Amino acid sequence: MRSGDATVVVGAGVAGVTYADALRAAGDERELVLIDAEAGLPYDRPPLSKALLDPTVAPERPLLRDPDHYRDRRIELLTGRAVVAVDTARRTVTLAGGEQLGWGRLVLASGRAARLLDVPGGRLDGVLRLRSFDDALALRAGLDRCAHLAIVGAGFVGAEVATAARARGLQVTVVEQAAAPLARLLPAELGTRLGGLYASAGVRLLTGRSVVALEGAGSVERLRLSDGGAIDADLVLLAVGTTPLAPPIDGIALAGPGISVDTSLRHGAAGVHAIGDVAARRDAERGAVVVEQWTAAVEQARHLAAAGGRPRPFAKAPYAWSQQFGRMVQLAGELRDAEAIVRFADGERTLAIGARDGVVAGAFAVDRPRHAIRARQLIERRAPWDEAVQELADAGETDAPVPAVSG
Amino acid sequence: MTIVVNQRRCIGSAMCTAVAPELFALDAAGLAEPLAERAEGELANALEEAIAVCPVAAIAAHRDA
Repeated sequence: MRSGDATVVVGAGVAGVTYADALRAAGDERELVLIDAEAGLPYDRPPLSKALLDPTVAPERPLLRDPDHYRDRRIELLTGRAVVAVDTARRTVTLAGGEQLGWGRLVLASGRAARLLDVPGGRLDGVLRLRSFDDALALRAGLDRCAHLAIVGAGFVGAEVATAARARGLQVTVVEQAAAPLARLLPAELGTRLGGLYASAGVRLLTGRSVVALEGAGSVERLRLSDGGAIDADLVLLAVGTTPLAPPIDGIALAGPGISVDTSLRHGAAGVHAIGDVAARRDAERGAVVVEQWTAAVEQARHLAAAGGRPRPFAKAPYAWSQQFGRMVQLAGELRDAEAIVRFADGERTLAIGARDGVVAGAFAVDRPRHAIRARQLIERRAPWDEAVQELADAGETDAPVPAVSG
Repeated sequence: MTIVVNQRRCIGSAMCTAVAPELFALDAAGLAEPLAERAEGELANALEEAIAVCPVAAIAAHRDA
């Protein structure tokens, strides 16, 4: 057992490591332990779907920090150690093997796992997922001997891996159950514009269809689709979303989209918090909100460390970027349920903003980084819709606002 | 502190402009560019923030001799 005022962080991804750093930077000198089920030094995940798949780049673990960094800051790393139980009354975590650690403050940043596809053949050889560094190495090796890659799911991971595979000259088919890419985040009109990027990159995108079976003698050879069609492929990447990873808390296994927290990222009142993509924030309007984005992990971690144990609502608008098919795709705020959308278009370069309750609520941009950032600032200060439209129109120089969806 | 941006590393995520809008903007190519040569006092803290949140470690601070 450790001293009772230790800070224990479960999960050494970007959320956990950023939190530990921010505590130390704020002058908190208490004992600090970062635990992760995965062995080795903590690493960053965005490169896994990008640089790690590039055959001209050495396949090195994209370390978040050098080993000295943890030593210098007295951040104890316990990696390759799974937390199997949390007891909030006794204030302990139990590791696999039975060792217990006491804590005064517990931060759960345990992340998510990539979903499997529950269909016949879903576990054949050659059917991969992408979440960990080892997953990325396996995918890279698979791409090295692949001719036709099929990707199930047209989200961020699917699009980025499709980009990497096309750069290798592979034939790529993406199957998406929804009517357009990124359907969880974007209205169909904007998702369809993203679909255009797939086509211009030479990727075959099949939307509105799901995979009903994977077939092959030993290794995968074919995907059967819900419309009766079939696709030949010698490698399949499942990029169909995630499930939360968390130890049972007081004997209760996690149910629902993530670890339930309030707007100050507190889970209950016992000094337990959750940050990053495992956290499901209760929101008056939208219920439990899980933001699966690198930016949110970093910003929540820094927010919680800066709050210094006092309740302080986290209010940053979600923001994500993704490099897809040679273009910069950016999303800020919430767009899917927008009541009105105005689009500023200039060929494939796009900026769209959406309204909710009279204020600008979300933005989507393709190769319009400066405007995307300006839009995010407008979203964060809940700018009135007309003002946001005007400001972005003024900034858009050559752009004319094109009413796309209304009502 | 002198602000250094490595534009060959920058991917235009714009995290620096979010945490330190006084110090960084995106240029016409969508890459980060410093708005000042140096950052002192409060701005030095903002610079540290920007360095911490950059996803590709494209920003550095050179301590002045």
